[in-house]
Formats: sequence, structure tokens, C-alpha cells
Amino acid sequence: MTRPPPSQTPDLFAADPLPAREQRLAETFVELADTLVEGFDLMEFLYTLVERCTEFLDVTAVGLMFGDEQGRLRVAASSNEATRLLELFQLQAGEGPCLECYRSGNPVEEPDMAQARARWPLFAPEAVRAGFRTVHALPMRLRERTVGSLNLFHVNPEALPPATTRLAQSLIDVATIGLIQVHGGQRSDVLLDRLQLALLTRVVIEQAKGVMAERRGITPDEAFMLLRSHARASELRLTELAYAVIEGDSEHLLWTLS
Amino acid sequence: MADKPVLRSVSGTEPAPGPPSVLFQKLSADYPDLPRRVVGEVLGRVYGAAWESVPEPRLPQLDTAARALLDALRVRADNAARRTGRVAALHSPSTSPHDRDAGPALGFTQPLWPTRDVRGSSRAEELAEAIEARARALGVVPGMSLLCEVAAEHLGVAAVAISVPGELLSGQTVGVGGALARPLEELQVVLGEGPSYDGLRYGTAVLVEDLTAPQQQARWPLYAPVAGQHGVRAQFVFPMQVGAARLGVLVLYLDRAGALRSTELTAARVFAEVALTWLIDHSAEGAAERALTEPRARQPFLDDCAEIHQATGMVSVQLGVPLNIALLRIRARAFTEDRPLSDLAQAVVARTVRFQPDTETDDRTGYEERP
Repeated sequence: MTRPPPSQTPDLFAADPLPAREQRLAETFVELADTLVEGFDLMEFLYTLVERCTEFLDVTAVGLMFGDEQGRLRVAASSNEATRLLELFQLQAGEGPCLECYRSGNPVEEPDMAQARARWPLFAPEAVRAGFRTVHALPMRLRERTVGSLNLFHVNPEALPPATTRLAQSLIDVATIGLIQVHGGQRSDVLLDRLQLALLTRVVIEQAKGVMAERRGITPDEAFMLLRSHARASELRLTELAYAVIEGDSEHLLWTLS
Repeated sequence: MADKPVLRSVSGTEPAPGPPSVLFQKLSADYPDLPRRVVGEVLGRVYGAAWESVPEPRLPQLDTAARALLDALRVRADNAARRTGRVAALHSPSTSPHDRDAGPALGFTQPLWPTRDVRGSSRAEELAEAIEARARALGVVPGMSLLCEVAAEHLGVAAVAISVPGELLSGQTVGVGGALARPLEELQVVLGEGPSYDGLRYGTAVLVEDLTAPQQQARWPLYAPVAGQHGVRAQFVFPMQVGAARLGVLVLYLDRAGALRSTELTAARVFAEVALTWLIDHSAEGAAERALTEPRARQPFLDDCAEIHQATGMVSVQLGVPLNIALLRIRARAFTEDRPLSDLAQAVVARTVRFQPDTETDDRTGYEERP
């Protein structure tokens, strides 16, 4: 695809001139910034962020990792809950683009994982085995501090165009502003606590997926889709629903069994 | 730990001089099945060191507390007699002979971990290795009490305890560092109130910077005055949990009021994480001994493995038990099978392994493998 020469004006929408896409993107920015809504749920917000990234960035998979209190990188949300993909994120607690990005605060890109074995001896072969050739990691910054990293995977051995990575960074930045706003612009350590809570909540959601999967005889992935759609349909927070499922809350018990 | 702030001992180890008080005689008569030494200890815990001179219950709450403590000890003694060695780490306090109430000063001169943490191993791993190395040097099992002692020393607090949810009681103490820890933990259990009790019950951190403040006295009307009598001014409770699976609390007792610094908070959470890992790792018989002789296989932090959490949810439905029991059952099974936890969890998620509820015939495996 030929792209217009660089200009001073943002070319966020240059890759796809369809008005429908622009419209949808504008809505997404509003969605990520407009966090002062009734029933805001952090986990739902993070899942929305990675899904919108997958939608607009033309990448195969997206994952968001946060650093925990001990500086370990941990998965907060991913666009696809396939085990293989989650393992790739988990590997990056030890090495990989997310960890480099988290440590340096700068974007990291590797356009051909097949050539990256020396850089990441564990991560690179696993990524290739999972079918991914290109990987990008973009920093999630809270004021001066890098609190996490957004991981983009693609099956093509070719770096993403600059416009796409700029758009990705914009989505993260807008989401971060939205997160600061939802906590009333409180001190940044309050938000950091919330991000820690997100890491705990993710585990609770995994456990709720297991409970649902066993009760209904479905896979955990199917259980996750059901949890999210039920949360939306009944205007429940995903987090609350996950706890209710685990605790066998009678109000939701019928639903989990039906 | 002679250089620690000295708190009034409540362990009742001093022989009681003089004639036994009316109160002591009364309680001894009401609890004839319990050794008189135990009754004396309970009185010492509830009324403080001067219990011998207490003629009559001063406060009905304290009498209730003493009797509740004695009831609890009676239940525990019965349980101990009945216990048949089932795999139930949650329900049985550690009985390792090395799990002492008080141990030698450990004499760490170096900080336990570097302040810069972005490295291959986490601070929790480094801390666990440091404690295990110390245990090997002392020739003891790296049990929960050793961890509590190290935590008390490192954080400079009067006492540290680790308690887990119990079956009949609402909590059981599996590790202590400092003489105050066990009696105060048990007191909260029998009173059914207190910061540790709330932490166990609700799975949240409970940070009480001043136990003598009026609102805290009102929040725990039975417990707070007794804790105060024993010189406790602040108490900080950190949950040990994996998602919604609540496995215990790590509790710090301080003889001074005030908030913890952020570095102390982080350190306390690291200790709680090590304790959590050990609780899960050691839930299978022989695991503690193995830890003593074999270097730990480095494995990813538990929270990073989605299948373990999914399997925990599935097994909790299969067995009809809470998540914490389900997690320990999976762990115990993996240990018995000499199989990585993540591997067994994957098999559960793939539905090639199911867990069966215990039957009356004491089927301890609760497990079957399908082809």
C-alpha cells in the first residue's frame, strides 16, 4: 500500500480512508475516555481496550501487561484467551519485548521473530511456533512512570506502519487518561493500586470461568464469552458477576446452570 | 531477639506463685478435662500476667473470652485425638517439631533483597531462598514459624503470625514469631472479632494504625482492649490469596502506633506471598522435608498460569468445596503424582482428569484418570 508523504497533520486514519472506520474510531476514543459512567468496571474496560486495539490496528493478537508491586510483569487482559497466547505473555515475565519496553519506557519492535533467537532465546522460538512473526510492545505511561506494556502480535514478518503504532499509542494514552479520570485525578499511587487490583481480579475471572465451564459442560473460553455477555445484558460489573458465580450466589445460580 | 522491644509476656510460662485464685479454681472445676496448666495459661492470656491476683471476673467479656478459649482448646484436643492424618493442610496446624514458638535470632546483617527489582528472579523468590538457606544452616525445616521470625526481625515488629481458615474454628495459627502472636491470634478466633479475623473472613488487608483509637475500640470491643493490655498498639493484616481462594493471613503486631512505610508494606506483602507459596507447596506430606534437601525448582509465579485458576474453579464444582480447598487438593494430587501443578491443571481443563468427592471409606485420592 502506498502511503502519503509525512505531513504535519496526524495521519491516524490514513491507512483506511473509510468514513465508517473513522466514525467507529472516534467512538472508541470517546468510549476509552468517557469513564465517568455508572457501573464502570476496570476489567471490562481493559478487555475493551485490547479488543479495540485488535480491531483497529490490524494485528493478530493484543495483550496488556502490568508490573506488579515486585516489578514482575503480569497479564492483565488479552484479546484472545487461547492458552498458547497466554503462555507467550507469561514468558515475558522473564524476557521479551514487553519486559524491555516496561524497563526502558520506550517502544520495542521486532519485525521478524525468526531472526530474534539471540535476543530472546526462550520467547522468540515460542512466538514463531505459535505462528507470530512480528511483535511490538508499547509503553503504558502514568505521568513519568511506565506501569505496563501493550503487546501487539502479527503473523506477517513486517513491522507495523508508523501510523498504526502511533494509533496504538494514542489508544493506550487515552485509556490511561480515562483511568486517571475515573479515580477523580487522585494521586497516581491510587491508580497503581487499582492496577494491582486488576491483576488479582483477572485471577478471580479465571476461577469463575472454571466454575462456569464445569457447571455447564463448556470450555473456559466459552464460559468467558458467556460471562461477559451476561454482565453486559444484566448491567452487572464483570468483576461482581465473577465473584457471584464463584460464591454460588442464588440470584445468578439459575443462570450459571441453564 | 533480646534487642526487640520488650512486651509483657502473656504466654503464662512463669510458674504461678501463691495459692490459686478463686477464678482459677472455678474454671478448673468447669473444665476438668483440660490440664490445670492450660487453664492457667488461658487466664494469663486473657487477664495478663497478674491473673493470679484476679479474684473474680472483672468484666463479663473477659470471662466469656476465657471460657471461649477453653472451649476452643477442648474442641482442638478432641480433634487432635480424632485426626486421622487426612490431607487437609487447611484444617490442621503445623505439628512439625521444628515449628517452634520461639527460635534463635537469625542475625541477618544484609538486606534480604536488593531494592532494584527488575531482574530474572523476584524478591519473593530471593526471600524464600534466603530463608531456606538459613533453615539448612540451622538444620531445621523452613516452616512458617521460621518465616514469621525472619519477618519480625526484618520488619522490626513485636510479633508476626500466619493463620489459615479452619474447619470448626474460624481460623488456625500455623506459624508464629514472637511470644504474643499465638495467644492474640487465638483470642481473635474465639472472640470472633479482631483485625486478623476480619482479614481471614473477608480476604482484605486490614491496616490498623492505632488500636487504642476510639473508633477501633468500638469496632472490636472485646479484642481491642485485651490487645492493648498486652502492649499491642498497631496491627496489620495481609491476605494470602489466589484470586478468590482465601488461604490465610499474615499478621504483624507492633508495640507502636502509626502507619507502615511503603517499603515496609511491600516487604510485608512479599513475606505474605512467600508464606502463600509455601502453604500451597507444603500442603502435601513430605514437601517440607523435600524443600530442606533439594533446591527449589524455579517455577513461574502461580498467578501467571491461567489453567491453574480455571482448574481450581472446575474442581471446586466437582468436589462441592470452596476454591481454597480445591486448589490445595489439586496441589496435593500433583505432588503425589510427582507431576507439575500446571500439567495436572491442564489435564483438568482438558477434562482428562476429574476429581471425585471423598466417600465415607476415606478415599483420600478423590481422583480418577480417564483414558
